[in-house]
Amino acid sequence: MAEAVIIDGVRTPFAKSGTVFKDIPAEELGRLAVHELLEKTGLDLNTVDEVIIGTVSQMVDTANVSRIISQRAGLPPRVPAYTVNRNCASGLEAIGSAIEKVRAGMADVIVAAGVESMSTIPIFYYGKRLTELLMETSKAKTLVQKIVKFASIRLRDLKPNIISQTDPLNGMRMGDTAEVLAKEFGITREEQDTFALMSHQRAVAARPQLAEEIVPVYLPPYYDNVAKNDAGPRENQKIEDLARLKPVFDRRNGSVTAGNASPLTDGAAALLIMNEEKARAMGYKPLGRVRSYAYAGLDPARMGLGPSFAAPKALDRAGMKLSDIELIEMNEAFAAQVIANEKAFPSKKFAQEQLGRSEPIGEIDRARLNVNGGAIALGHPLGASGARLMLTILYELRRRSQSIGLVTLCVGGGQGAAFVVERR
Amino acid sequence: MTAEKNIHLSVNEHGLCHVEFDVAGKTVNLISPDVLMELSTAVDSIRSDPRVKGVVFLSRKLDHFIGGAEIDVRKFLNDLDATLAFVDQGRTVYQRIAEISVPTLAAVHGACLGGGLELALACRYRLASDYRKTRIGLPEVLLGILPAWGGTTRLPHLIGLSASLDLLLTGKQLDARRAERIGLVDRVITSKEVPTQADRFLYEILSSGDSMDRKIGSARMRAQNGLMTRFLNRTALGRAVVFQQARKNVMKLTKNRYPAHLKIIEVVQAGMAKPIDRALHLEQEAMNVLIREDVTQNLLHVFSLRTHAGKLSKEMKGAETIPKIRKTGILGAGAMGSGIAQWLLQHEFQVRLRDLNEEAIAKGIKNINGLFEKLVSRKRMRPEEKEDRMRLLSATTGYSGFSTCDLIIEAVAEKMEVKQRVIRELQEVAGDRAIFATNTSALSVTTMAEASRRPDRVLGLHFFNPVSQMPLVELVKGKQTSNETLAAGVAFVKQIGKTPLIVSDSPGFLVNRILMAYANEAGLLLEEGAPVEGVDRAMEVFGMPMGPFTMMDVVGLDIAHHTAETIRAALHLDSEQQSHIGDRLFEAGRLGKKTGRGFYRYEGRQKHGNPELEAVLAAVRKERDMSPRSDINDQEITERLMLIMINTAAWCLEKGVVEGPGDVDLGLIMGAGFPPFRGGLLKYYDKIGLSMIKERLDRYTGSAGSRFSPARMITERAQQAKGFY
Repeated sequence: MAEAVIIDGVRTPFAKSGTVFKDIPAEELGRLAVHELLEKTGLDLNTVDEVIIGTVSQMVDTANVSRIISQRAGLPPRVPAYTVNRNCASGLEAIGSAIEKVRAGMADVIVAAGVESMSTIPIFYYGKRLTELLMETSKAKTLVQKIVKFASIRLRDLKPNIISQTDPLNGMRMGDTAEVLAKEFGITREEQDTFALMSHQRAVAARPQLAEEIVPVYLPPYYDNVAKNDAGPRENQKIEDLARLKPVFDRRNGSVTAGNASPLTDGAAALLIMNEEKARAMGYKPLGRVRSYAYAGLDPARMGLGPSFAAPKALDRAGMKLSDIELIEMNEAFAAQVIANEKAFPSKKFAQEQLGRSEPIGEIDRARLNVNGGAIALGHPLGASGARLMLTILYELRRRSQSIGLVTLCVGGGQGAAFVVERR
Repeated sequence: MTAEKNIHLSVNEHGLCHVEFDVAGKTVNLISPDVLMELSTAVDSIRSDPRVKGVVFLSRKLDHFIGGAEIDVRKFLNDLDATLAFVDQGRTVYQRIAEISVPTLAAVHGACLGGGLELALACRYRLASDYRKTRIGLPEVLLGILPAWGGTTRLPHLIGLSASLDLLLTGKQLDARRAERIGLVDRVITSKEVPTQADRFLYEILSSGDSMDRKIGSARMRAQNGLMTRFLNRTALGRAVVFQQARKNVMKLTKNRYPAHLKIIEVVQAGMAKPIDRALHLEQEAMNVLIREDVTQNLLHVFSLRTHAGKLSKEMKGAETIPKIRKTGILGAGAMGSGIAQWLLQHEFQVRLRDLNEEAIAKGIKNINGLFEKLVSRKRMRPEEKEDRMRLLSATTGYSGFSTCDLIIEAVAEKMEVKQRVIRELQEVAGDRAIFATNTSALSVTTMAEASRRPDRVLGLHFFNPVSQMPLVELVKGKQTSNETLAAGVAFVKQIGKTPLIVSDSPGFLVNRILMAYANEAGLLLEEGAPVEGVDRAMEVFGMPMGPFTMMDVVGLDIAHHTAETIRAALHLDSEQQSHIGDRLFEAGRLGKKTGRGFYRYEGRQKHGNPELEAVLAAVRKERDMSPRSDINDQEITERLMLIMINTAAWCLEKGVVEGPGDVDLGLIMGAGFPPFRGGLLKYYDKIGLSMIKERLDRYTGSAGSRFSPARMITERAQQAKGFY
């Protein structure tokens, strides 16, 4: 079977929604990342077989955003493109799909990316009655009929509805699921805030390292400024300031705050995936490859535990134990959710009762976990995060001359994703 | 008739006749007397063929419909009677096309200019493809003539008065959509299967009785539907307003130096009141007058220089593999770098831009964006097109992305060490696949190329500032520059719509070398006592777009100083004969317009005398131990400025900086704003005669200095009673 390797990657800085990237729609963020990937790798554009891009909030007016991005990034029209969506794991889904295609011999060169602009997600929509009346008005044959239809629109029809941010499966907001885990695992507010502080401190310290994977974005419409770094990490984040924040989801008894959760974020990340032989023939030195990966489903109300369900499957497929893993990138949707996984991983009880495994997964060493900070500081642009974690871990493995890593995320709606990567 | 056919005639079983232009041995269709004869015969046979139910005029060339009449300027001007006969004959043939009784159609794909558009206007219908190279217009006015194959007469009948004058007086070229909007084109078609689409259109016309024709007629009327347009085009008062306004604008624009504009207005105005056959005759009369004008002959001379610009010598044509340029890299995001980048983006090249830090790049991108915004606000580009062009740009502070460039242009600091270092760094990271071009304005390309492993792939591409407005690019051939590289450079410069001028590697090349002598002389005049405004005015009266001091203020005295320094150092020019005033202002930080003070003082858009200048001048005069003269008149100013340019140009010709006098004239017109209606510096003074020039030079050598000592070439030619040409 053909082997797939990851050649290189690049991403935009991540920025809190509604700030520097508020005028840059998702397709343009994606274009910036893919365009720079093609430049950075010096790729002959005619060799590209496919473009796969993960995104969560697909806009009605930019359907199949992958095609728009790939064409605007300068790829020839004959290169096909499609968009994938596995919620928060969409970026990883793009990478997984690319790898499968290469392994199956269906493609040799694939651009895989993830993109999200949470600034541009619409918040309101109009009711069904207004849409229907407008449709009927435009269909009406005579002017009189049109006027009659139009006149039947009532003021209350113009009241916009707020698009629900809850999981339709259980009516919970993502933060509510984090509260569930905090209570189930007895995670304190202090534990969560301490974790959030660590995320900021590590991300601030890692700025020069993270800069290696970032392409600066010159900001339209006036191009007076340039975004060079991630906007999220705060130099002088203090634990007292975190402690002062009010819980957002459970205002009375909760512990999940804006400070210990990942913010809404805009960003994009892209990777080049190739058939290994082809890559060597073209003179590329790959960053690494995916040794195995797995997805797992679980109760949507406890979606944050996704890594605990997916990681053991991926490790089994890799023929490895957690102790073989030198670096872990676990997406920080919520501090509570990461800590819950830290508690579940070494628990024999959890393994036996919930995973049907006799032995626990293993202890997570914080010295190996999210060493450059995570989504609490950097941000979590849903569709882009998976690709960002993959890029970050491959660069960090190279910097440390280490070889085995684990990328894992929880996924809204109750899934987990885990990718075992290796550098050779 | 020639043995080779240029026009192919065929009639299909439904009675559709195709007249296909395919001028033998050329990539473009130009109408020569031979082609016209053939067309005439074809029209005769169509008119007498009872099978023919409809006629389509087409081109078999890939991206060219008909570019107009073939103009061999020398022949054209040598035998004016033959030229006028050719003009007359063309109009007669076109009129016979207009009189064909069955429906006629021009299917335009590619350039449709001058006589090409006039042919289309003689047809009953016009289709045009949405292809990028489909450009429709009447550029005759730019040559000092008028469309005289029926175009001046027919256009107002089709698209109305105001739109017609706009096309006729500017020579502007429209794409298919714009042409459709004003009613010049009846339908926009796609660029594939043009003949089939044309056939289908004619079948529709033939099968629909009158209804389709009426529909098209009303669509044409709708194109001039605005209330104002209707008033201006269709009422006597409105027309009077249009004509008056047009005359006023023309006088403002041409300062009454270009007679064709007024003549065109006159022909349109008189023609509208006459039946078509008599109106057509006015075109001939106007041509008869214009063709004898000095200005027209000068403009035709310039046209011929432009047509031949960048013509490759024999050995260069032998260059077999001319590399194709698709992606470009630009080093340096300053004024020149970003200006070049914008121009390349506008012409749909990918650009990878490098500078040392993000802040410098941001400034460059801001400049690029601003230039595009101007195009958008002037409606010369749609906002979506601007976004598309901007997306072709990417930037880096490293060298990534440069290995896939086909052409890399450097616009970094004007220092040899910096430029050589950049070449070496680039080679380390990006290999030597690309052609490397330097945008230096005065440094030696040959010396720079020594840093390259492939000096044969190094050349100079000297763009002028501001890039978007200056049509000239000097292509500098270093000692080791290969023919392939030069040929690729020429092809590239033409592709981006600039005029190429091949120059050899000499300090200041051609244009800056001459301009520097000109600016220096202006400075000396000032030091001797001539007023700043007086010198500038004399040159404006001569026809220069601005005087030398305004020019230096606009360019920037720092840039003028550095360029002059480089040239002076390389040529060891006699410092006694060098003006100091510019250097003193530069040293005092008076850099011209950008600092608000230079030779003038600037307040917003206003220009005033700079009160500080007198003190600086007094100091210079003291240094030189001289007192100001009060007897410098306009004649001396003009003579000295022109003579120093002529003498320097002769020096350039002797040194082989350029090949011939035409190159000098082209360079100064396109690169320094020398007035085109004069026909060029050397062309103009050839008329005065070299012995006269020599006599004046000798006189000024005595009174003003040895820089006027006549170049050997001038002395020799004056003796032989020859001119530069």
